[in-house]
Amino acid sequence: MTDTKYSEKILELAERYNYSPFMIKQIMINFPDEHLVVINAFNRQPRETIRVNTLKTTPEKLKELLGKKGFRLKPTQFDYAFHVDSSQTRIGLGNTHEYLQGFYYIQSLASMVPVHLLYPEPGDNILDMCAAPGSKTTQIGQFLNQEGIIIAVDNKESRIKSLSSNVKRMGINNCIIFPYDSSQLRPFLKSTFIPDKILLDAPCTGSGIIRVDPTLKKSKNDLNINRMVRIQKKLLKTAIEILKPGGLLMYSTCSFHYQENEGVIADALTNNRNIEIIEPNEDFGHPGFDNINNKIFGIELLKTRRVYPNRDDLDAFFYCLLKKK
Amino acid sequence: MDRNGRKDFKGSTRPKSKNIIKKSNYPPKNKTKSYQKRTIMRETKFVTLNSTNIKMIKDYFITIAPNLYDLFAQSNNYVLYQFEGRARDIFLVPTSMSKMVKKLSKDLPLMHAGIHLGYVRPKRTHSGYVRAFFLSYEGGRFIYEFIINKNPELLKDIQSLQLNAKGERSFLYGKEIIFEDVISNTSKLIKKKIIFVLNQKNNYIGIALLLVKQAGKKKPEEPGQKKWDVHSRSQNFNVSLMNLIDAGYYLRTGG
Repeated sequence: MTDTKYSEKILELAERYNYSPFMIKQIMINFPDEHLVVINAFNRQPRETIRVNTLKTTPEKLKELLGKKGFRLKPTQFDYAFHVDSSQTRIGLGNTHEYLQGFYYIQSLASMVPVHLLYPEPGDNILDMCAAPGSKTTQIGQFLNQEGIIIAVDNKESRIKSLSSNVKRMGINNCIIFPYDSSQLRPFLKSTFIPDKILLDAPCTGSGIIRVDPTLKKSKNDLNINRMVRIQKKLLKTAIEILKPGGLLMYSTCSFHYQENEGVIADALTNNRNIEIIEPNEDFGHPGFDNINNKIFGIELLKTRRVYPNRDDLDAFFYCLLKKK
Repeated sequence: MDRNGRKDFKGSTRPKSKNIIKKSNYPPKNKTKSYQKRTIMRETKFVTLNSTNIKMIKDYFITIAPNLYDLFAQSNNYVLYQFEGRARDIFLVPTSMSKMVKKLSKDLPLMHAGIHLGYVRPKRTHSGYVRAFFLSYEGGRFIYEFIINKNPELLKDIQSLQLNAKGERSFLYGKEIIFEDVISNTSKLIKKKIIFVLNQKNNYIGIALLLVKQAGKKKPEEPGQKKWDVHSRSQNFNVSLMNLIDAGYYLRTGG
C-alpha cells in the first residue's frame, strides 16, 4: 500500500466517520485487520456498569434495592459488578439514595480490571500514583477491607477534591491523600512507605474511551502522544524505584496507541533488568503487541493484555502487570 | 500630600515620589520552588490535635452522650489529627497509620488521612464569635456506627429520628425536616444536642438539630393565664428541625 493511496483512504474514512485523519491513521495502525469494526464499535453507546461497595452492602442486597427503583442489574464477569439497564426508570444512577450512601460506584468494567489483576489483599501497602477521581482507589479500599494502607496521589489539586469526596462516600478509612507529582515521590517515601503493590493508571491521551467522550475523535495529535509518553516513562521509572522487591506493579492506560503502552513497557524492560512481566492468571483480554508498525518489542510483551471495543464490548484499555525481582 | 492646594485622592494618577514607594521583597517576584513548597507546607501541615481542640471535641462528644469520649479514648484505635493553618479540618487516623502520617506530613502536603471527623470554625453566639467544633457527615456516621456496633448501651443517651420516604427525599436535598415526615417519637427531643437522622431502613443519612425560635407575634395572653404556664408560653415559639448535614452534600459539592 503506497502512502498516497493510504492517505486517500484515511481522508475518506475520516470524513465519513467524523474523525481527524490522524486518529483514523492511528486506528489503522493499532487495529490493522479490524479497523472498520473498531470504528463502528467506537460509535456504540457504552453500557452502564456499577461496582458494588462490599464494605457497605452485598451484591444481592443492592440488586434488590435498585430493582425496586426500576433498575435491571445483569451479572458481569466480576461478582461485585453489574451491568445496569436503566431504561425502565427516570432516576439517574448517580442520584439514588444508595449512591449517596456509598453502596456502589459508577465505573466502567474495563477500568475495574487493573485493580482486579493487581489483587490487593488485606494488610498490603498500596500506592495509587494517579489516583483522582478515585474509582480505582476506592476499589483497592474494598479489596483491602480497611486493613493495610493506601496512599493516593495526584498532581492536580483540583481533582483531589473529588478523590477525597469519593473516598469519604465509599467509607474507606485507611487512605492517605495528597496532591503531588508522583514522579518526584521517591525521596519522601524512601524511608517511610515501601509499597507492596503499586497501581499506575498513567495519564494518557484517552483514545480508548472514545465511546464515552466522542470529542477525542478529533482532539488528539502526535504531540499529545509524545507528551504523554514522556510523562508515562517518568512515572513508570519512579514506580519501579519505589516498589518493594518482589512487589507487583500494575501499569494501565485507557489508550490504544502502542507508543503509550507496549512502547513504554519495552523501554522500561530495557532500562531496568530487575523487572519482569507477569502474565495474569485470569483469562482476560487479548495479548499485547510483540511487534507493530515496523517496531519490534519482543515476545515478552505478549504477556501484557489489551481489551477491544469490538471483541469485548469494553473501552480500549491496556494492562501490564510487572514484578520487581 | 497637597498639590496646588488640592489633596490627592484615592486613585490619583499623579506619579508618586520615588522615596515613598517601598520595595518589599516578600513575597518574592520570582517565586522559587523552595518558596512555593514552603507556602504549601504552611497551609496544609498535618499535626496531632492540640489540647484546646481536644477539649473542644471532648465537650462536643459529651453533648452527644456523656460517656462517649471516654469510651472512644479507651478504644485506642484512632489518633486525632488536624491541619495547622487556615483550614482546621479534624481527622481520625487509625493508630496503625498514625506514625506514617506523622512522618509523611513533615515533607508532603497531606490533604486527607483516615476519617474526616469534622472541622473547627468560628461560631456566632450572643457574645460574638467563638471557635467551635462542627461534626462532618462522615464524623456523624462514624460516631453513630461506633455506638450501634460497639457501644449499644449509649443508645439511650443519643437522640435519633426516623424519616419516611418523603422526608428522606426532602432531607437529602438539604431541606429542613418537617415534623409530619418523622415516623419516630419526637416529643423527647431537646435542643442544643445533635440528632442522628435515619431513613426507613435505619440507615444513617445525616444529622439535624432542634431549633427553637421566637414566633413573630407574641400570642395574646388569655384571661387568667399564669406567666409561668410553660405549655402556653411555648406556643410563642416556632420549633423546627434544622438540617446540619446530609448525604446529599456529596452531590451538591460536586464530589
